[in-house]
Amino acid sequence: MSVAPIEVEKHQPDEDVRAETPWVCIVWNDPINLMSYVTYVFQSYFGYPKRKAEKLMHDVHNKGRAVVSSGTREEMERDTTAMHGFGLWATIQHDK
Amino acid sequence: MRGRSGRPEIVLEDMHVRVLADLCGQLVEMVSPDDEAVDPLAAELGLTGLGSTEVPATPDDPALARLLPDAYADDVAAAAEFRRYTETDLRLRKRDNARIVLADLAELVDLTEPAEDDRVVSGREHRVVLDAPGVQAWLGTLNDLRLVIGTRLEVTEDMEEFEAKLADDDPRRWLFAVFHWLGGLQDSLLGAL
Repeated sequence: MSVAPIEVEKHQPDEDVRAETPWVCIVWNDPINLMSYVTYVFQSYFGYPKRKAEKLMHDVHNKGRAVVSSGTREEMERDTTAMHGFGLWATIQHDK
Repeated sequence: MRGRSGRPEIVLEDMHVRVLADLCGQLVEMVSPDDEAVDPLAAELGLTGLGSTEVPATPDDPALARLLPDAYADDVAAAAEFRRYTETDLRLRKRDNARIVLADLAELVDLTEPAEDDRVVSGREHRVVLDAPGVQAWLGTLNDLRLVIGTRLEVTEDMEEFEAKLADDDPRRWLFAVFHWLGGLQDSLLGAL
């Protein structure tokens, strides 16, 4: 899964908050973690509905990686640490 | 599975309790911070390593590196900086999870008794009934153990094929059995949530 392009709206910058906080937390595929566990982590930590959590899990599995959250650098560092706590392989990236 | 109490539970035989306790003990040793004198308050406040000028490196041991991965994939300096502020806390969290599981296991079987004793290895079933924090600790520890064993076995997506090629007396067969068993435990616990 590729990083979703973020439109920078110069005329109305307030319309897209993400444009000001272009950092993402990426979870990478690994052959060890159970699909059921990865789905559980996305549901329990991010509070995502089961459907969204499963879609993200499948993206990780099939595409090798998925952006699981976006926000400020501090927020993404927090999410990444949490993913490492759960044992998922996660990294932070500046979504240029 | 879900027990009569309606709460998730884990069912283990004597021998399984011992195997798991042994693995948890190894995990505790593996993830515990190198510095014995870690100030718990400083750790809680995220202040450990602040006085250190040493740049923390990715662990050499691939299994430990998998438990404590780099947070920045293509920025070595940022990864080291992040590690300096967060690694101790992450290690302590994983250690505490494993200790919770160990404490649960110690309530089931007298782990100080030698396993050779026939009375101890009875095949008797034990139940651990888990509350919400217990579920977190167990899931995290089962997963960390699978990550360590899976990394040591160099598990890939073609695991079955690799496993089938191993000789009957290859010691990795036993590790594979443990790896699959831990996965089954984790999956059944997830199914009970």
